[in-house]
Amino acid sequence: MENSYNSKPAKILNITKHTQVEWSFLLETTIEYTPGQFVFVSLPHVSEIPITISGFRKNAIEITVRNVGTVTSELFKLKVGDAIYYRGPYGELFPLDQYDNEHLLLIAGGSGMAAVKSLVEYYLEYSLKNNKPKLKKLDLVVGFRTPKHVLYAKELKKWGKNSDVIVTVDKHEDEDESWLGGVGFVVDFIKDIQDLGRNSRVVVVGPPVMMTNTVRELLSYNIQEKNIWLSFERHMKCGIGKCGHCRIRDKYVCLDGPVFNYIEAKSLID
Amino acid sequence: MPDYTEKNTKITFNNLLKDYKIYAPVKQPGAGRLSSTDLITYDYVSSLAEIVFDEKTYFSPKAVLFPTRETMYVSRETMYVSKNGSLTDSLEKTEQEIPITILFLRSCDIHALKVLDTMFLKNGNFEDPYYKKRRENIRIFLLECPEAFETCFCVSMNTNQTQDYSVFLKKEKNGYSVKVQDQEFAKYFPDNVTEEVEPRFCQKDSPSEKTKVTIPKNIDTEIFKHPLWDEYSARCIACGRCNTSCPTCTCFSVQSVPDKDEPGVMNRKRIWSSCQIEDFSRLAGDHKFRKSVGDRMRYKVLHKVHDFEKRNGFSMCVGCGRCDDVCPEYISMQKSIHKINEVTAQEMK
Repeated sequence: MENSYNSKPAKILNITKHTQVEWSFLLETTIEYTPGQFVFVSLPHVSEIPITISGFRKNAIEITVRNVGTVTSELFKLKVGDAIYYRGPYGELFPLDQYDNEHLLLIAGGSGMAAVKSLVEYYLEYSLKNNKPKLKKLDLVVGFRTPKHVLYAKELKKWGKNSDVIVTVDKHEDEDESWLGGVGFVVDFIKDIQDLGRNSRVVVVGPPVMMTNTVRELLSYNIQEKNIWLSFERHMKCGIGKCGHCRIRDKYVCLDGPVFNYIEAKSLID
Repeated sequence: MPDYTEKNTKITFNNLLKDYKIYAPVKQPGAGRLSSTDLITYDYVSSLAEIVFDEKTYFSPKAVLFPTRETMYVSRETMYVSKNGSLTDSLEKTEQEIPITILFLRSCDIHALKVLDTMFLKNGNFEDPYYKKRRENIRIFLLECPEAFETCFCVSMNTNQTQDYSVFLKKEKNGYSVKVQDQEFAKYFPDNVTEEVEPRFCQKDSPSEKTKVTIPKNIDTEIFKHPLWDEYSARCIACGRCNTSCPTCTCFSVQSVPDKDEPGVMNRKRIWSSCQIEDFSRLAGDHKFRKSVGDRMRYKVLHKVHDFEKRNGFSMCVGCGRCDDVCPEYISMQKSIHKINEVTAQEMK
C-alpha cells in the first residue's frame, strides 16, 4: 500500500535571497504547471510544513520561504545541491479557464505574493510560449511593509514592461528615499486601476485583514462576487484532510482550497 | 437461562485470547480523577473477569485505532542535508504491533467508528495507512445498554442501536449468553447455543435529561456573533479534555522527537491535538484564529452537530456524553445544543 504521507527527495537547483529572511528555493521535480497549489516540504530530522509553489519551470518548482520557525530555520542552512523531501502538490488551483480573454487584477500583500507570482508567470511566460489562451489585460497591485521587505524586485520590474504593476509599501523611512513606488495599503490603489468593471476577474492573496478590506473595496466597485478569488493560509499538519487543523466549517483548506471563490469564501469564518 | 456457564465462558474466553488480543472496559482502582475513585477505561485484558460490563468508560476506545502518540517516520540520518538523507515509514512496525484485536464496544462507540473511518479512510479520497492497518485487524463484540447512563443522549443522536458487530456477549446471572453474527467466531462458541439472545438497546436518553436533543440544521454564520458563546469564554478553561475523551475527535499534530534508545535517531510522531487549545490554529508569524475560548467551543460544537454532517451526510456527535462527564467546569454538550436550537428558532421568527 502506498503511504499517502511518503515524501520524495528533490535537489535544490538554485537559491534566490530576496531579503535576509525570505528566500526562494528552486527544486528539481516533475510537478506540472498548477498555479495555486502547495507542497509539503519535509526535512527528515526536523519536520514538515506546507509551502505554496511560487513558480514553475521545466522539471522544477520554486518555493518561497520566510525564515520564521523550526523547519524554515533549518531549510535556510541548506545549499545548492542539497536534497530536501516533498510530497504533493495538493489543493485546488486557480480556475484558469475562467480568466481566459478577461481582465485579470491580482492583488497581493507580503508573502501572499508567492501564490500570485505563479499566476503572473503563467500568463506572462508560460501561456505565451505554449499557445494557451491569453488575458485581455493583466494588472498587479502588490504591497509590502517597507522597501526592505519587497520580494521579487527584479521580476516586478520585468513584468512592469508588459502589464500594469503597482508596488506599494505601508511606510518608508527617510533612508529609503530612493523608493519610487507608492506608499499606502494595496486597498488604496484599487482606484488607480484602469478598466476595472463588473466583469473584471480579481485574485486577492494576503493576510486576513488585508483580504477582508480589499474585498470590501472591490465590491464597492460593483465587481461581482463570483469574479473574486482568495487564497487562504491556515495551520496544516498533513495536507490530505486528516489532521483537522485547517478545517473551516465543512471545508478543509488543504482539500477544498487554498483557492476559494468569494461566494464560498465569504461564509468561511473561522 | 444463559447459554454458557461462568466456567465454560472462561474456557471460551481463554481460547479467544490465544488467537486475539482483547480490548475492553476495565476498572483501574484508585485511578479516578477524584481521590479514592476508580477509573473505568479501555485497556487490554487477560481474563473475562476484568471486563466491566455495566459502566461507561471515561475515555473512548479510539486509542486502539488512533494511538495518543504514534511514530509515522523514522529518520536515521544525522545530516539530513546530505543527498542521501532518508525517511523510513514505520508502517511495518505498526503491522507488527497490531495483532487481530477484539474490541468490546457499546452501540454509540460502534457508530463513532464510522466517523473515524470517514476521516481516516475517505476524507479527500486519501487513505491514512496507519489507521487502515489497525482498522483491518479490528473485530467488534457488542456491549448492550439496557438503559442510558448519566449524560447519554444516543437516542436523540440515533446511535442507540446497531447491527454492526461480530458477537454479542451478554452477562447473565449464572453465566453468559451469546449471539454470533460472524462465522469467524462460530468455532469458539460451539453448538450448545439453544436460542439466540437479542441485545437490549436503550430507548430513552439519560433519565436526568428531560428534553430530547434536536440536531440543528442549516446553521449560518449569524450564530457566530451571538452572545451565547460568551458564557463559554468565561467558563471553559481550554483544557481539551472533551477532545481526548471524545470517540470521534481525530485531529492530530506532528512532532519530531529524539529516540530514547538510539542517539541521533529522530521519530516523527503524530500526537492527539485539541481544537480547544489556542495554538491549534497558530500560523507562522504567530497569527491565530479563534482567539476567544467561546469561539473555540463554537468551532467544536458546530463541527460535532452540523459541519461534519453537512460534508458527510451523518452527524459526528454520537451522544455518548463523555465530554460532559470529563469537563472540569461542568459544561454540557447537550445544553449547548439546546441553546443553539433556541437561538436558531428565534432567528427564524
